[in-house]
Amino acid sequence: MKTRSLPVLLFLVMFLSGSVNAQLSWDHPSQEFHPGFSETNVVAQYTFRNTGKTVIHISDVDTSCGCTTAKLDKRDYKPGEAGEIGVNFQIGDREGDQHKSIAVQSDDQTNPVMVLSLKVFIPDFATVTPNFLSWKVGDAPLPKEFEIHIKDGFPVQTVEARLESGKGFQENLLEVEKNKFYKVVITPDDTSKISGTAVRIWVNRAGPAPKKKFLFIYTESR
Amino acid sequence: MKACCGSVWMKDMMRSLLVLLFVAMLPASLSAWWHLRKSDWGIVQIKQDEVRVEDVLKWSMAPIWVDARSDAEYVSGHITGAISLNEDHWNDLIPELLSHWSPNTPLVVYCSASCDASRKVAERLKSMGLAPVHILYGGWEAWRDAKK
Repeated sequence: MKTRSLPVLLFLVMFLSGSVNAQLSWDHPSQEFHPGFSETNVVAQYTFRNTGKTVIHISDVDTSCGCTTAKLDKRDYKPGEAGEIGVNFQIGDREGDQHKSIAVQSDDQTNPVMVLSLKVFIPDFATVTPNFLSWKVGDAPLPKEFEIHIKDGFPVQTVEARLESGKGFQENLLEVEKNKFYKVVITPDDTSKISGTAVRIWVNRAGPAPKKKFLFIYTESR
Repeated sequence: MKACCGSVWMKDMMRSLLVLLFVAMLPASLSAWWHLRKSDWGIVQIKQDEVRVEDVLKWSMAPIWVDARSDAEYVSGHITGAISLNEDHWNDLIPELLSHWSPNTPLVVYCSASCDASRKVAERLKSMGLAPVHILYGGWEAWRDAKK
Protein backbone atom coordinates (compact mmCIF):
# COMPACT_ATOMS: atom_id res chain seq x y z
CA MET A 1 0.00 0.00 0.00
CA LYS A 2 1.38 3.40 -0.93
CA THR A 3 2.06 5.62 2.06
CA ARG A 4 0.47 8.70 0.44
CA SER A 5 -2.87 6.94 -0.04
CA LEU A 6 -3.09 5.89 3.62
CA PRO A 7 -4.53 9.16 5.07
CA VAL A 8 -7.20 9.26 2.33
CA LEU A 9 -8.15 5.66 3.06
CA LEU A 10 -8.24 6.37 6.79
CA PHE A 11 -10.53 9.35 6.16
CA LEU A 12 -12.90 7.30 3.98
CA VAL A 13 -13.07 4.52 6.57
CA MET A 14 -13.88 7.02 9.34
CA PHE A 15 -16.48 8.83 7.20
CA LEU A 16 -18.26 5.68 6.05
CA SER A 17 -18.17 3.93 9.43
CA GLY A 18 -19.80 6.95 11.08
CA SER A 19 -22.67 6.86 8.63
CA VAL A 20 -23.68 3.21 9.17
CA ASN A 21 -23.10 2.79 12.91
CA ALA A 22 -26.41 4.31 14.05
CA GLN A 23 -29.38 5.58 12.12
CA LEU A 24 -32.99 6.41 12.90
CA SER A 25 -35.30 6.02 9.94
CA TRP A 26 -38.60 7.96 10.15
CA ASP A 27 -41.80 6.84 8.40
CA HIS A 28 -43.65 10.18 8.25
CA PRO A 29 -41.53 13.01 9.71
CA SER A 30 -43.90 15.66 8.32
CA GLN A 31 -47.64 15.38 8.99
CA GLU A 32 -50.70 17.54 8.26
CA PHE A 33 -54.12 17.56 9.87
CA HIS A 34 -57.42 19.24 9.03
CA PRO A 35 -59.52 19.04 12.23
CA GLY A 36 -63.27 19.63 12.20
CA PHE A 37 -65.10 22.47 13.94
CA SER A 38 -65.75 20.48 17.10
CA GLU A 39 -62.29 19.03 17.64
CA THR A 40 -60.21 20.41 20.50
CA ASN A 41 -56.90 18.70 19.84
CA VAL A 42 -54.86 16.79 17.26
CA VAL A 43 -52.84 13.65 17.99
CA ALA A 44 -49.96 12.63 15.70
CA GLN A 45 -47.77 9.53 15.84
CA TYR A 46 -44.21 9.76 14.52
CA THR A 47 -42.91 6.20 14.05
CA PHE A 48 -39.27 5.35 13.52
CA ARG A 49 -36.90 2.38 13.40
CA ASN A 50 -33.22 1.98 14.26
CA THR A 51 -31.76 0.81 10.95
CA GLY A 52 -28.18 1.05 12.20
CA LYS A 53 -25.90 -1.46 13.88
CA THR A 54 -25.67 -0.03 17.38
CA VAL A 55 -28.10 1.12 20.07
CA ILE A 56 -29.47 4.64 19.59
CA HIS A 57 -30.14 6.79 22.62
CA ILE A 58 -32.70 9.61 22.31
CA SER A 59 -31.61 12.28 24.78
CA ASP A 60 -34.31 14.91 24.32
CA VAL A 61 -37.57 15.68 22.53
CA ASP A 62 -38.28 19.40 22.43
CA THR A 63 -41.41 21.08 21.04
CA SER A 64 -41.62 24.61 19.65
CA CYS A 65 -44.71 25.53 21.68
CA GLY A 66 -46.29 24.85 25.03
CA CYS A 67 -49.46 23.94 23.13
CA THR A 68 -47.64 20.89 21.75
CA THR A 69 -46.57 18.03 24.01
CA ALA A 70 -44.53 14.99 23.02
CA LYS A 71 -44.41 11.57 24.65
CA LEU A 72 -41.66 8.98 24.22
CA ASP A 73 -41.99 5.63 26.02
CA LYS A 74 -38.27 4.91 26.29
CA ARG A 75 -34.97 6.38 25.19
CA ASP A 76 -32.82 3.45 23.99
CA TYR A 77 -33.54 1.52 20.80
CA LYS A 78 -31.63 -1.58 19.68
CA PRO A 79 -30.74 -2.19 16.02
CA GLY A 80 -33.92 -3.11 14.18
CA GLU A 81 -36.17 -1.91 17.00
CA ALA A 82 -39.10 0.41 16.24
CA GLY A 83 -40.52 3.17 18.37
CA GLU A 84 -42.84 6.14 18.18
CA ILE A 85 -43.23 9.67 19.51
CA GLY A 86 -46.80 10.66 20.31
CA VAL A 87 -47.52 14.36 19.82
CA ASN A 88 -50.60 16.14 21.17
CA PHE A 89 -51.47 19.63 19.88
CA GLN A 90 -54.10 21.66 21.74
CA ILE A 91 -56.17 23.82 19.41
CA GLY A 92 -57.47 26.15 22.14
CA ASP A 93 -58.61 29.45 20.64
CA ARG A 94 -56.11 29.32 17.79
CA GLU A 95 -57.11 30.29 14.29
CA GLY A 96 -55.70 29.56 10.86
CA ASP A 97 -52.72 27.50 9.80
CA GLN A 98 -50.41 26.30 12.54
CA HIS A 99 -46.92 24.94 12.00
CA LYS A 100 -45.16 23.33 14.95
CA SER A 101 -41.82 21.57 15.09
CA ILE A 102 -40.56 18.79 17.33
CA ALA A 103 -36.78 18.46 17.68
CA VAL A 104 -35.51 14.97 18.50
CA GLN A 105 -31.94 14.83 19.82
CA SER A 106 -30.11 11.51 19.72
CA ASP A 107 -26.71 9.98 19.19
CA ASP A 108 -27.61 9.20 15.56
CA GLN A 109 -24.37 10.36 13.98
CA THR A 110 -25.94 11.08 10.61
CA ASN A 111 -28.74 13.18 12.06
CA PRO A 112 -28.20 14.13 15.72
CA VAL A 113 -31.14 16.59 15.68
CA MET A 114 -34.15 15.43 13.68
CA VAL A 115 -36.84 18.10 13.29
CA LEU A 116 -40.33 16.66 12.90
CA SER A 117 -43.04 18.84 11.39
CA LEU A 118 -46.69 19.14 12.42
CA LYS A 119 -49.07 21.29 10.36
CA VAL A 120 -52.62 21.83 11.54
CA PHE A 121 -55.12 23.71 9.40
CA ILE A 122 -57.73 25.02 11.83
CA PRO A 123 -61.01 25.82 10.07
CA ASP A 124 -62.53 29.20 10.82
CA PHE A 125 -66.23 28.95 11.68
CA ALA A 126 -66.98 32.34 10.09
CA THR A 127 -65.43 35.05 7.97
CA VAL A 128 -65.79 38.62 9.17
CA THR A 129 -65.19 41.70 7.05
CA PRO A 130 -63.72 44.08 7.78
CA ASN A 131 -61.51 42.96 10.70
CA PHE A 132 -62.19 46.16 12.65
CA LEU A 133 -64.04 49.47 12.35
CA SER A 134 -62.56 52.88 13.03
CA TRP A 135 -63.42 56.55 12.83
CA LYS A 136 -61.14 59.57 13.11
CA VAL A 137 -61.75 62.25 15.74
CA GLY A 138 -64.02 64.81 14.13
CA ASP A 139 -65.56 62.43 11.58
CA ALA A 140 -69.33 62.39 11.26
CA PRO A 141 -70.64 59.64 13.62
CA LEU A 142 -72.07 57.60 10.77
CA PRO A 143 -72.83 53.90 11.16
CA LYS A 144 -70.49 51.26 9.78
CA GLU A 145 -71.02 47.52 9.68
CA PHE A 146 -69.33 44.14 9.99
CA GLU A 147 -70.46 41.32 7.72
CA ILE A 148 -70.38 37.83 9.25
CA HIS A 149 -70.63 34.81 6.97
CA ILE A 150 -70.95 31.50 8.84
CA LYS A 151 -69.10 28.64 7.14
CA ASP A 152 -71.13 25.82 5.61
CA GLY A 153 -71.31 22.84 7.91
CA PHE A 154 -71.00 24.78 11.12
CA PRO A 155 -73.97 23.74 13.33
CA VAL A 156 -75.38 27.17 14.20
CA GLN A 157 -78.12 27.46 16.77
CA THR A 158 -78.15 31.18 17.51
CA VAL A 159 -75.96 34.22 16.92
CA GLU A 160 -75.52 37.03 19.43
CA ALA A 161 -73.61 40.31 19.47
CA ARG A 162 -72.84 42.51 22.43
CA LEU A 163 -70.58 45.46 23.15
CA GLU A 164 -67.93 44.69 25.76
CA SER A 165 -68.58 48.04 27.37
CA GLY A 166 -70.98 50.87 26.65
CA LYS A 167 -68.10 53.17 25.75
CA GLY A 168 -69.74 55.53 23.34
CA PHE A 169 -70.96 53.07 20.69
CA GLN A 170 -74.24 51.38 19.84
CA GLU A 171 -74.52 47.98 18.22
CA ASN A 172 -77.34 46.36 16.26
CA LEU A 173 -77.28 42.74 15.03
CA LEU A 174 -79.15 42.08 11.78
CA GLU A 175 -79.99 38.64 10.43
CA VAL A 176 -79.64 38.71 6.65
CA GLU A 177 -79.95 34.95 6.10
CA LYS A 178 -80.70 32.69 9.07
CA ASN A 179 -77.66 30.72 10.29
CA LYS A 180 -75.58 31.97 7.35
CA PHE A 181 -75.21 35.73 6.99
CA TYR A 182 -75.39 38.47 9.63
CA LYS A 183 -74.49 42.13 9.91
CA VAL A 184 -73.48 44.05 13.02
CA VAL A 185 -74.09 47.75 12.60
CA ILE A 186 -71.99 50.01 14.83
CA THR A 187 -72.79 53.68 15.41
CA PRO A 188 -70.56 55.92 17.52
CA ASP A 189 -72.37 58.22 19.97
CA ASP A 190 -69.88 60.93 19.07
CA THR A 191 -66.42 61.11 17.55
CA SER A 192 -65.12 64.14 19.41
CA LYS A 193 -62.62 62.14 21.44
CA ILE A 194 -60.49 59.00 21.29
CA SER A 195 -62.28 55.92 22.51
CA GLY A 196 -62.43 52.22 21.78
CA THR A 197 -64.04 48.95 22.72
CA ALA A 198 -64.93 45.62 21.12
CA VAL A 199 -68.00 43.75 19.99
CA ARG A 200 -68.21 40.15 21.13
CA ILE A 201 -69.91 37.83 18.65
CA TRP A 202 -71.20 34.48 19.92
CA VAL A 203 -72.17 31.71 17.55
CA ASN A 204 -73.95 29.13 19.68
CA ARG A 205 -74.07 25.48 18.63
CA ALA A 206 -75.33 22.19 20.03
CA GLY A 207 -72.87 20.48 22.38
CA PRO A 208 -69.46 22.20 22.50
CA ALA A 209 -68.95 25.70 23.84
CA PRO A 210 -69.98 28.58 21.57
CA LYS A 211 -67.51 30.03 19.12
CA LYS A 212 -66.61 33.64 19.74
CA LYS A 213 -64.96 36.50 17.95
CA PHE A 214 -63.92 39.90 19.27
CA LEU A 215 -64.11 42.77 16.82
CA PHE A 216 -62.42 46.01 17.79
CA ILE A 217 -64.06 49.36 17.14
CA TYR A 218 -62.53 52.74 17.95
CA THR A 219 -62.21 56.42 17.32
CA GLU A 220 -58.58 57.40 16.85
CA SER A 221 -56.68 60.65 16.54
CA ARG A 222 -56.16 62.25 13.15
CA MET B 1 19.86 9.93 1.31
CA LYS B 2 17.79 9.26 4.45
CA ALA B 3 17.27 12.98 5.03
CA CYS B 4 16.22 13.42 1.37
CA CYS B 5 13.60 10.59 1.45
CA GLY B 6 12.32 11.74 4.86
CA SER B 7 11.59 15.28 3.63
CA VAL B 8 9.85 13.95 0.48
CA TRP B 9 7.66 11.75 2.66
CA MET B 10 6.86 14.75 4.84
CA LYS B 11 5.83 16.79 1.83
CA ASP B 12 3.60 13.95 0.59
CA MET B 13 2.03 13.66 4.03
CA MET B 14 1.39 17.43 4.23
CA ARG B 15 -0.13 17.42 0.74
CA SER B 16 -2.45 14.53 1.69
CA LEU B 17 -3.48 16.27 4.88
CA LEU B 18 -4.29 19.49 3.01
CA VAL B 19 -6.43 17.52 0.54
CA LEU B 20 -8.24 15.85 3.45
CA LEU B 21 -8.81 19.20 5.12
CA PHE B 22 -10.24 20.70 1.94
CA VAL B 23 -12.54 17.71 1.37
CA ALA B 24 -13.79 17.93 4.98
CA MET B 25 -14.33 21.68 4.77
CA LEU B 26 -16.75 21.39 1.84
CA PRO B 27 -19.60 19.58 3.65
CA ALA B 28 -18.82 21.47 6.88
CA SER B 29 -19.20 24.82 5.12
CA LEU B 30 -22.42 23.75 3.43
CA SER B 31 -23.79 22.57 6.78
CA ALA B 32 -22.86 25.83 8.51
CA TRP B 33 -24.58 27.82 5.77
CA TRP B 34 -27.75 25.73 5.51
CA HIS B 35 -28.23 23.98 8.87
CA LEU B 36 -31.58 24.49 10.52
CA ARG B 37 -30.03 25.24 13.89
CA LYS B 38 -26.95 27.08 12.83
CA SER B 39 -25.27 29.40 15.28
CA ASP B 40 -25.84 33.10 14.89
CA TRP B 41 -22.16 33.63 15.70
CA GLY B 42 -23.16 36.35 18.16
CA ILE B 43 -24.60 38.56 15.41
CA VAL B 44 -27.72 40.34 16.64
CA GLN B 45 -30.53 40.21 14.08
CA ILE B 46 -33.42 42.28 15.30
CA LYS B 47 -36.55 42.39 13.14
CA GLN B 48 -38.36 45.58 12.21
CA ASP B 49 -41.24 45.04 14.63
CA GLU B 50 -38.99 44.05 17.53
CA VAL B 51 -37.87 46.36 20.31
CA ARG B 52 -35.18 46.08 22.98
CA VAL B 53 -35.93 46.41 26.69
CA GLU B 54 -33.62 49.39 27.11
CA ASP B 55 -35.36 51.25 24.25
CA VAL B 56 -38.88 50.59 25.55
CA LEU B 57 -37.95 51.92 28.98
CA LYS B 58 -37.07 55.26 27.35
CA TRP B 59 -40.44 55.70 25.61
CA SER B 60 -42.43 58.77 26.64
CA MET B 61 -45.65 56.74 26.63
CA ALA B 62 -45.57 53.57 28.71
CA PRO B 63 -46.74 50.59 26.67
CA ILE B 64 -49.21 47.90 27.60
CA TRP B 65 -47.11 44.77 28.20
CA VAL B 66 -48.72 41.62 26.81
CA ASP B 67 -47.50 38.26 28.08
CA ALA B 68 -48.07 35.60 25.40
CA ARG B 69 -46.81 32.69 27.49
CA SER B 70 -48.93 29.94 29.01
CA ASP B 71 -51.06 30.59 32.08
CA ALA B 72 -48.60 28.66 34.27
CA GLU B 73 -45.59 30.65 33.04
CA TYR B 74 -47.44 33.93 33.59
CA VAL B 75 -48.33 32.98 37.14
CA SER B 76 -44.72 32.01 37.92
CA GLY B 77 -43.52 35.50 37.03
CA HIS B 78 -44.21 38.31 34.59
CA ILE B 79 -43.46 41.96 33.87
CA THR B 80 -45.26 44.08 36.46
CA GLY B 81 -48.62 45.13 35.07
CA ALA B 82 -48.42 42.80 32.04
CA ILE B 83 -51.68 41.43 30.68
CA SER B 84 -51.79 37.72 30.01
CA LEU B 85 -52.95 36.93 26.45
CA ASN B 86 -52.25 33.55 24.89
CA GLU B 87 -53.87 31.56 22.12
CA ASP B 88 -54.92 28.80 24.52
CA HIS B 89 -57.56 31.03 26.13
CA TRP B 90 -57.68 34.01 23.78
CA ASN B 91 -61.41 34.68 24.07
CA ASP B 92 -61.35 34.54 27.88
CA LEU B 93 -58.31 36.82 28.17
CA ILE B 94 -59.07 39.50 25.57
CA PRO B 95 -61.57 41.41 27.79
CA GLU B 96 -58.81 42.10 30.33
CA LEU B 97 -56.61 43.60 27.59
CA LEU B 98 -59.56 45.62 26.36
CA SER B 99 -60.13 47.10 29.82
CA HIS B 100 -56.59 48.57 29.74
CA TRP B 101 -56.40 49.49 26.07
CA SER B 102 -57.16 52.71 24.25
CA PRO B 103 -56.41 53.57 20.61
CA ASN B 104 -52.81 54.53 19.83
CA THR B 105 -51.46 53.06 23.07
CA PRO B 106 -48.42 50.97 22.08
CA LEU B 107 -48.45 47.27 22.87
CA VAL B 108 -45.31 45.22 23.50
CA VAL B 109 -45.79 41.46 23.33
CA TYR B 110 -43.33 39.01 24.85
CA CYS B 111 -42.88 35.32 25.51
CA SER B 112 -39.82 33.19 26.19
CA ALA B 113 -36.76 33.95 24.08
CA SER B 114 -37.00 30.64 22.22
CA CYS B 115 -40.72 30.55 21.44
CA ASP B 116 -42.82 32.09 18.66
CA ALA B 117 -46.00 32.71 20.66
CA SER B 118 -45.32 36.45 20.93
CA ARG B 119 -45.18 36.78 17.15
CA LYS B 120 -48.42 34.82 16.76
CA VAL B 121 -50.19 37.00 19.34
CA ALA B 122 -48.75 40.21 17.88
CA GLU B 123 -49.86 39.29 14.35
CA ARG B 124 -53.33 38.48 15.61
CA LEU B 125 -53.62 41.79 17.47
CA LYS B 126 -52.48 43.68 14.38
CA SER B 127 -55.06 41.88 12.23
CA MET B 128 -57.72 43.05 14.71
CA GLY B 129 -56.76 46.65 14.05
CA LEU B 130 -54.63 47.35 17.12
CA ALA B 131 -51.55 49.46 16.53
CA PRO B 132 -48.75 49.97 17.18
CA VAL B 133 -47.82 46.43 18.24
CA HIS B 134 -44.19 45.46 18.94
CA ILE B 135 -42.42 42.28 20.01
CA LEU B 136 -39.88 42.32 22.81
CA TYR B 137 -36.50 41.22 21.52
CA GLY B 138 -35.08 38.52 23.78
CA GLY B 139 -38.43 37.97 25.47
CA TRP B 140 -39.07 37.51 29.16
CA GLU B 141 -35.46 36.53 29.72
CA ALA B 142 -34.21 39.85 28.33
CA TRP B 143 -36.48 41.75 30.72
CA ARG B 144 -35.42 39.65 33.67
CA ASP B 145 -31.72 40.14 32.85
CA ALA B 146 -32.16 43.88 32.41
CA LYS B 147 -33.76 44.14 35.84
CA LYS B 148 -31.00 42.27 37.70
